[in-house]
Amino acid sequence: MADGPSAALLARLRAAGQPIGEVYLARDEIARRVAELGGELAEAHAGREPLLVAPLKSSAVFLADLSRALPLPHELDFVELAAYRGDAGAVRVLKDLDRAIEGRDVVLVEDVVDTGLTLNFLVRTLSLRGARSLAAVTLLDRPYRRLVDVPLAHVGFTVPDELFAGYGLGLDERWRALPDLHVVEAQELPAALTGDLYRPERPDAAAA
Amino acid sequence: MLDFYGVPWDYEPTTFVLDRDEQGRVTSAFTPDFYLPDQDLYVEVTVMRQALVTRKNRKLRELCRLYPDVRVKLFYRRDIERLAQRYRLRLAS
Repeated sequence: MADGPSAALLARLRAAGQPIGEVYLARDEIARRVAELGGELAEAHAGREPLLVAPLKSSAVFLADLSRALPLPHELDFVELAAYRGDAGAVRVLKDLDRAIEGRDVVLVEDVVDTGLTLNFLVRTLSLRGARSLAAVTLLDRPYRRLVDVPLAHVGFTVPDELFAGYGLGLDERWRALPDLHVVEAQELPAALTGDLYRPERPDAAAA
Repeated sequence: MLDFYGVPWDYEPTTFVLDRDEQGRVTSAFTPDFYLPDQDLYVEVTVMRQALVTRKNRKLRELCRLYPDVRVKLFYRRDIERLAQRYRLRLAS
């Protein structure tokens, strides 16, 4: 499937021993589904001028394609959230929307929805700003560890419990430029520690 | 992670009785680790060895049978490791 610059990039990554795996979704398949999503969104927002909002950075490629597949007047905007670091604190908005959304029809454009925590935070935050409607579309849905209910109106693909890269999705900032979506061979990734995510801190937790 | 995203949670707020003896004394119970009140969802996290996981699975099935309206999710060690990988490697950014 890979050709031209993407084939060269893939070859260089593999030669460097990067754990980039096989293609899971080819660019043609993604393009077809994104076109369908554009049609779904147009139908759901007929007669309106929605604002498409994407969190940086992984959703940028999907947003660009979805925008061109949406046969409605619409606007684009971005937000950026501080990534989870495991050292407590709270999520912070690093880049807020450029304009007010009061009375607007807002569509959040996500690359992957997993636990739903990020999307839930965005929905809670933006719903306080008086949008007329708030919906969400995701390219990939990985529902196996969903912790919070989120208003996912449109889903591109429900994917297995794997790591993916390419089509804008990165892994430590690598591989975003690959045009197809690849499986990442997770066994070759650095071992993850679990303590940061599972850390009951109530005083009675140790005795429980 | 829940704190980071501002999702309220309680630690072990509820014990569900699973079985009693003839005198009415509790002989089996299950206390999920977390309760997310906004979601009305209980979350049990287990990072223990497989034999104990099997026992916990059995209790969880029993809980679902006796309390069909209770929403509960079980997170295994693998789930936690996967989440850690994804957040640590900034896949969401």
